[in-house]
Amino acid sequence: MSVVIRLIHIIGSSWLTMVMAGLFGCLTIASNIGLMAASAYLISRAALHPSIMELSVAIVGVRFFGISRAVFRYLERYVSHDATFRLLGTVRVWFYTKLEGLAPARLLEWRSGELFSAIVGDVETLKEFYLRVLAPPFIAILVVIGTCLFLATFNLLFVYVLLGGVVLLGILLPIIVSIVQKSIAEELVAGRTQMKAQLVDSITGIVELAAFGQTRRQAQRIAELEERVAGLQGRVVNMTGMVDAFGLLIVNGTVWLVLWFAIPLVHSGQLEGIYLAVVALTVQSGFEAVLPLPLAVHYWSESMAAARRLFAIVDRTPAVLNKTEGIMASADATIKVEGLSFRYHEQGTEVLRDISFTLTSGHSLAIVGPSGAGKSTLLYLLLRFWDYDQGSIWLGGHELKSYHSQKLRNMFSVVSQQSHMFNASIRDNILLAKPDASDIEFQQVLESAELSEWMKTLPQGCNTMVGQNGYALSGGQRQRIAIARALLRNAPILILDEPTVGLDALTEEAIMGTIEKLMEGRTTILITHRLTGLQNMDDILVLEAGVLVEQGSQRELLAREGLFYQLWHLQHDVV
Amino acid sequence: MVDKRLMEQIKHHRQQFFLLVGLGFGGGVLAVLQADFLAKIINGVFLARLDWAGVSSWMAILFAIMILRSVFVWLIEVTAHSMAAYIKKDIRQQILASLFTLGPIYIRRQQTGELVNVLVEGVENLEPYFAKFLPQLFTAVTVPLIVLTVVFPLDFTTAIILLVTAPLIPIFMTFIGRTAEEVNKRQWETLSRLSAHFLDVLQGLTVLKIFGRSIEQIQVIHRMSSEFRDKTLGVLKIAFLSALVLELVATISTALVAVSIGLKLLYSQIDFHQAFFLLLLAPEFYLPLRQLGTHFHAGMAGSAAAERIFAILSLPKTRDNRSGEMSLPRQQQVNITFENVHYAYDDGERPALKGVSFTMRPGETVALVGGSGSGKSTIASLLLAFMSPDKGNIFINGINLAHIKLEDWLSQVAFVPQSPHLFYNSVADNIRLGRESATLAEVIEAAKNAGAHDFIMSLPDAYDTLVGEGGHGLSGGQGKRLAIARAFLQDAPFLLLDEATAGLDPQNEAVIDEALHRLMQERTVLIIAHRLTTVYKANCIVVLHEGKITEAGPHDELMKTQGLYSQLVLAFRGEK
Repeated sequence: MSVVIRLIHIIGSSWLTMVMAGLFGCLTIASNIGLMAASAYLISRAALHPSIMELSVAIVGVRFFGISRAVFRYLERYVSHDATFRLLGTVRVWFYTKLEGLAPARLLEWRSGELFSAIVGDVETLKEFYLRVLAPPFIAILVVIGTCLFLATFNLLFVYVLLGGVVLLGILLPIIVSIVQKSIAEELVAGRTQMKAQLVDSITGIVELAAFGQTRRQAQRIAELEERVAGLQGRVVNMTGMVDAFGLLIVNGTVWLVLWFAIPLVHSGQLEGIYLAVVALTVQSGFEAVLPLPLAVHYWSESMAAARRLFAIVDRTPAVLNKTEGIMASADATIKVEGLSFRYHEQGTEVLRDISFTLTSGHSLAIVGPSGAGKSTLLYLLLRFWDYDQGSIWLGGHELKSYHSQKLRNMFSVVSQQSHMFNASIRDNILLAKPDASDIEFQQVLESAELSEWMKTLPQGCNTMVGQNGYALSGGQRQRIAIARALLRNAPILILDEPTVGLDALTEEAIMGTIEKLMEGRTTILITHRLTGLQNMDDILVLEAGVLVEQGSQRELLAREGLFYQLWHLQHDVV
Repeated sequence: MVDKRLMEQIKHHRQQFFLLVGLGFGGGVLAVLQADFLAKIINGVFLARLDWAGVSSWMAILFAIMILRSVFVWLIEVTAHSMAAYIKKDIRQQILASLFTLGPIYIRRQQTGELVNVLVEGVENLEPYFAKFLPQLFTAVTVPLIVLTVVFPLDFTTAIILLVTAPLIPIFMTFIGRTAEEVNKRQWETLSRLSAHFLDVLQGLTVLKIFGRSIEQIQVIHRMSSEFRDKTLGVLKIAFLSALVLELVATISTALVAVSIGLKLLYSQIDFHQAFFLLLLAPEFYLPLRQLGTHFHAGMAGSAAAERIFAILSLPKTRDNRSGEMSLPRQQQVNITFENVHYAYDDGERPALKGVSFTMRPGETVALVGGSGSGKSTIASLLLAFMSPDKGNIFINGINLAHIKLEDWLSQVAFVPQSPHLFYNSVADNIRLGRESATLAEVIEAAKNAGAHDFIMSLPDAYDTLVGEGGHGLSGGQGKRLAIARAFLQDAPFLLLDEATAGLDPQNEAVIDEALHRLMQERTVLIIAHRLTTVYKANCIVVLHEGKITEAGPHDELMKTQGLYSQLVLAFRGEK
């Protein structure tokens, strides 16, 4: 239940629009009830052949309701779409604000784009909670109350019958459905997942399927799975079909039951005959408000699941508390690491074990090793994405923890393997590093990053949009933009995190050339598993499984014939 | 929206389809009957002053009709779903058959995401099309017709009102359908642009944080949401107007019918029973038409999916001149001869092999060397019979490969690809791809030979661990070892090995090297080589350049001739 309360909390200022949308929804249905009741009254009344004057009110009523329904429907649509957009905005701002506090440490755990998309999807699902879970009961309750008050003027019996139908259709039926469906749902989800996996495998594994002569077998497997899933689905449909059938029977049955009770009342004169048709049609059209309720149950479980997943994310504690005081900067960029050990989780294995090294201000250091050696972790600790608890890191003679968090990060420039590009212009992507950079500064940076020539070939120059995550850029261009960012930022310490991964040899060489310019006068740390261009580094650390196994210049390391030598050999054994 | 090609699919399920149409018709008739009896009863009680006993038989019939209607609703849903399920299965099988015939060469060059999408989501979209949209479409035609047939003899004015407004509904519906589609599209675009931005910011949060720009994004998200909202609502405001008109047509004509028959009643031109019956029928007349609107999207999605599905189904199947009927019993030794083999991709547009001839003797290891695009993988694809040579022949122990039964040949080729695909299945079943009938003991034996047993045992469920997309993640080296285990299990006389371009972990590499060495014993081996150490060891090196063999022979010999190969080797040594 606390999930619901938290969700309602998030709505904030959007509640008014939502209530408006709900009210217009009520009025739309009420108009229809009005139309049917007034029509029934008009006809019944006319059957008694009164003067036309006596019918005029009814005629006006019929015409009024005929028009008002359409108008209210229009307003409802408009306002509810307004509410949708508002809610989405509100939920997104809420989620982003929470996440911002957790970034980047907690974010690094979900690197894959799919996970990000799933989260974006969950945020979107939340809007259904407000529009399709909260709104329908609200509308149903108001409409049913109104209808009951109207029916009560004739006879309380009708009210009881209507309420009985409403409870059956709007509450009991959905509950029964959700209970029964749950039993099949799990099996169905499992079947569908398997089916999807098999279909994906048929495409992505086509080489193996064809090479091992398995294509026919695969098609057969899928046909079998499909039959199984269809069988399960058939059981679900059988049930939902039955539910729909019962739903219709409840609506019709309620009308029938109202007649049952009304007939003797008319005969005994307790109910005027002209109202018989009115009562019957009012009851029938009142159910319009109750029909969406079963669907609300479906959205309920869906949005609760999404909410739980999102809350699980935002409820995590930040890996590092944002420190807004402390040392602002240090002129000396000497980095000293002493006896540093680290594990991500308390029960987890040590990712770094007793690492010690010194990088003097203005010098360069490379960290190499097989994947999983702990290179990136070391970098995250330097940037204070995580806090270490064993050993220490000193920057310019001060412990890292004594710095102001953001000011500390301002001392670093990072060029990483897949620098994120925002879906904005090239200019904006570069200016991210320094929004108030002058035009001259900007041009200089373009020149140094060797972007200006390419930029001239673009019709829109530096205003060219780079597309979602820079898909319109080649790997080399992307890295050059990242280099331009780093240049503009002009921080004393430069961190290069596999800056040439995924580039072809020629581009790699060119990019490394540009990077050398960037390194001038800066304390540099290069993380790489490509062992090229290391001859100019002052010092190289070789990590393996979190342990510093070798250290020295390239010449020294090759002479030693240890792990570095093996790695180097393997990489140069390529045709 | 009524896609002819989709209707074709119904052909095989005619019975169910006619049953559906019949049920829809029956449902319409029942709705009319229900209105009639309701009117009869109310008329009887209200005007004829009948008591309970007087109307009890009508009440019983009315209740029976109501139950029957519900049964029809249930039957329609069940029948429609079962028809849709059959059709979905048919179409999936057709697509798969089509793709498998087109083969890996075609598929590898497509965007796999798109193919997967058609196969999974695309076909799934046909479910609401066949199960919801089509049945509703028939109801929307039959029910109004039934109602009109009943109304005409009763009251001409009402019939005219219905008749005049009826065409307005489909007209507006198509109009709204179009604008609604436009609105949906626009709204969807807006929403997806918003969520794309949101995704963008989330994915770039690390960068924003490093640059100290993350806080201000809160404002940006808020502002973008509001701007988009205002813009989209401006568009929607107009689009909703057409929906307003549709709603007006339906409600106002009900109101018109009510008023006109009310006046007729007043002047005794009609009796109450008929009048009330007509009033009840008017909404029934419009209901199916309006319900069609709610399934409109299913219709659109279905026909959109059909486009993509039939695009795949109508692809021209590559000519395949395999007449392979000859069986090839299991060979102890395999020798392979390429005789002036030509092959070009894209119907001869892109030549890949231009007259390649070479021979592999039993037990020999041949290394293919050459840059990308030199024709190495084309040779592998030809040997795996993914396609047949355009010109020239490949002989297996003297028999033309084109004449050999495909399964017979493939069972004798063990293939270890560069980056093996792992299927969403258990580790054991992934290895069993090499030989489906293998026992677990045999699988374990193969895994031990491939140096994979130890890491498999450390997985959560050992040999039963699910791997592949969505399963337990394995490293590249581990996947490779499973592929080698497949080859051991298959125990084929010919081994086709596509070497990894970059092995970066010396430990992993050592295990794989050792396993491969064992695997290569006493087999004829063709390696697409990327590593010098492998090439040195080969009995024969075949150097390819732009689809032709430039030189062939053992390492020492080739170094002496000082051709392309020696240049390649020297270039790398130079760097060392």
